Amino acid sequence: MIRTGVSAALALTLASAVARAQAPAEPTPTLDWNQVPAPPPAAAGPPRWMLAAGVRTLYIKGAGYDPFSSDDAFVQFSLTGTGAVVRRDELSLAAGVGLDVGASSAHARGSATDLHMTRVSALVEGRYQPASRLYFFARLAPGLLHGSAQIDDASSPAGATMQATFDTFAVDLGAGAALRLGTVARPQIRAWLVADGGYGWASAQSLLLSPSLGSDSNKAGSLDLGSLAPRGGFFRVALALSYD
Amino acid sequence: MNRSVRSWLLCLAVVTAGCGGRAPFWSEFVQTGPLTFNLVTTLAIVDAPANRVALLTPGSGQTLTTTFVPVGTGVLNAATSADGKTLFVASAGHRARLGDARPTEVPSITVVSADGSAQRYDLMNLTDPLGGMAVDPGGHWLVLYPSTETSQPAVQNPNELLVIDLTQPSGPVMAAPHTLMSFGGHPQRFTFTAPLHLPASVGDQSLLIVESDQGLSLLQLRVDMTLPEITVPLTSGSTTQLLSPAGIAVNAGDSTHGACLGVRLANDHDVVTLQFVPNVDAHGAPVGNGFLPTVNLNDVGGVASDIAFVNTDSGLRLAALVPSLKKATLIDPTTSLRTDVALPAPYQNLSVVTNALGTAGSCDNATAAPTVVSDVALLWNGSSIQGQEGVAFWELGQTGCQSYRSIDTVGVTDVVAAVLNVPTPNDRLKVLQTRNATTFYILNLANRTAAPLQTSTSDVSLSISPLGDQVWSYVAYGETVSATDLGHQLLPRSLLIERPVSGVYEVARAADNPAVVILHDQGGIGATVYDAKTLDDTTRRLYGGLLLGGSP
Repeated sequence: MIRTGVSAALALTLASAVARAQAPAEPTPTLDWNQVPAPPPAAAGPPRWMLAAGVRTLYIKGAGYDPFSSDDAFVQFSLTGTGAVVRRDELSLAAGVGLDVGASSAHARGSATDLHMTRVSALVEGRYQPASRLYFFARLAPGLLHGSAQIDDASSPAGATMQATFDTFAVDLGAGAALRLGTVARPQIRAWLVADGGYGWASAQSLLLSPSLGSDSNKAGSLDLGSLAPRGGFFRVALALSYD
Repeated sequence: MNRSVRSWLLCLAVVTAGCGGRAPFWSEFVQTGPLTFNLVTTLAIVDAPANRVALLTPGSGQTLTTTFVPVGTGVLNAATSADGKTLFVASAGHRARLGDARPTEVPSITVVSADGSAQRYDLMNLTDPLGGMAVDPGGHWLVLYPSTETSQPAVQNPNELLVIDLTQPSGPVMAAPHTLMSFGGHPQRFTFTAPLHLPASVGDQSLLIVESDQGLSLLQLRVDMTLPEITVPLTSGSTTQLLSPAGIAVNAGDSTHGACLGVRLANDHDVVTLQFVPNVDAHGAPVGNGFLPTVNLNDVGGVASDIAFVNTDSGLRLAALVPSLKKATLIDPTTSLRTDVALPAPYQNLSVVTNALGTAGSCDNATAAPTVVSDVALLWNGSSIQGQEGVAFWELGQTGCQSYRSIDTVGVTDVVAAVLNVPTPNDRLKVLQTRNATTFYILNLANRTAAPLQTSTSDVSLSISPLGDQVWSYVAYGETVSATDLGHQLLPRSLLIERPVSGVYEVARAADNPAVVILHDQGGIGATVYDAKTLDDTTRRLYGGLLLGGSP
């Protein structure tokens, strides 16, 4: 079972970023602090701009996912960008976009299978910051889910891979918290650890896989792998940078 | 790596790790060369690792609908009914160990019909299943027996039979156990007879005849198996040698004579005939089975290679072929009188073809119909020895212009390995499969000609169309399939096949328009479906991954 290279790469990315965030600032001998204006005080309330990258794990319980994974987890690289559109004291309302990209590979009865899913979403997020280093949020993220499933079965016509693609509406509803880790390079740029969870919904898709035979595609029958419902509870951990 | 980074990585590992699991079905590989049966209107593939049967039903436009029928866990064996429309699957069940998530499942028999309906008999009184299976052609009984070919318990009784009444409602049932009386022998073959004309006290009854390596057992099957079996140990009259049956012939009898059996022996020159006499008490009430066999040993001078009951103009005879002496012997089952007939070649097999001939056996100048219906037998050898090739017609009476008991040879120059019957309307034809030769023959019983068909290799498999209009030839795991028209032209046509072929099955569809399903079983199960009439490449359809769908 390959849980995609996304997880490992992202872990390294996060580790590197965290290490950078916690490393002591390099000395700048030529800088005279007495002549530099004092940095602006930390802004009150949640951050204005935020870019987050992390790992989103969706737990798909339906049997339609079984050919593509030996467990129920579907792991994606998750990227979100938000900007606060309304800020009042410790409350704010942010809007943004999100991208979730992932794949799962397995063997179904000896045949190699792959499932790729990419989700592009718009998101609306309400934030509440009770302390300067912590805020909570709730997020609604409707979007479009594109998926492709394929299976390599030597018995298929011409030895071709059988595949199917689908596009469907999807929506995430979740809540989480963000913990400020510190500043990065400049006082306006801060690092956050963001964790959230919720439920991701998408309509069920009928998986009728066919070989790609071009003009002869009408000569090939389809493989019915049943219905895939790419929905379930999800959990996401991300590292974010904010700018005020 | 500092402590914080390690903590975060651990956190990531936790959230990215999967939970839950999938059905074990998906981890079971597709079996290469699964048991496959043509159920007339659908093709049944036993998907043993997934405990199910896949029914592939061709439709119009060469569509292929796949239906999955679950069967018991641990498939042991499968067989079809005599009419080929029903599949019987024996399963071992499952014995749950401590902590086993799968519940205990008793051994079972699943009866699968071509329409996808199924009945399951759970054999409640079994712990260890039996893998051998014999099915009554009448559809009433199914007998399980120990098999050496499938996984069997550490200790087994080779003479144990389990009899299941298939007319009872499905669900939990009790199999009737029966142990054959044994003098040290092991069952070898099982034959369900048609109703036999037994003595009047019994009437017409079907029997199960079990051939062991030392004798015969005759059983009248009952739900409770209360009737005793009749055991016929076979020993030579002059020595202590145990005689092993090599095959039997059954004549059901009629109003003029009772039923009789013939038994040829693998290790003796005798051919055994059995007739039945009443076994009644002083008041005429049946004792035991109500009949007893009378046994006669008939020395035919050599080991008989094949036997069959034939009608001659002298009456019913048991014909035995003795290839070592290049002769056949006709045995009167009543008197044991023997008549030898010299043969031009050491033929080893015979098939009675009278019914297939119909009136075709009469020659053109025949002026009177025969008063006695005598048989015509087709002699062939089935030998791998070059020089023993050929087939011959054996007239067993005065038929038209043919002389009494004449032998009419046909110029087939290859060793005949098998004679395949052709269904009506071309039942006057036989297909002769050869061994180690690049030819097969279409034998016409009417004009006694054998048309050769050349093949590119000697490894050709043949199957006959259920409609009797074509013979399918293919090379196993090659990409060559041909259909030869059995009409007047004997015209071979090749199919365009792009994957290795594991089997060719002609399946009936609506409106007398059959489809032919060519299976491919390497790397999964795929199929190519043709219209069996038109064989049009442009309308064929190809399928792959047929056993990947239908997850439980």
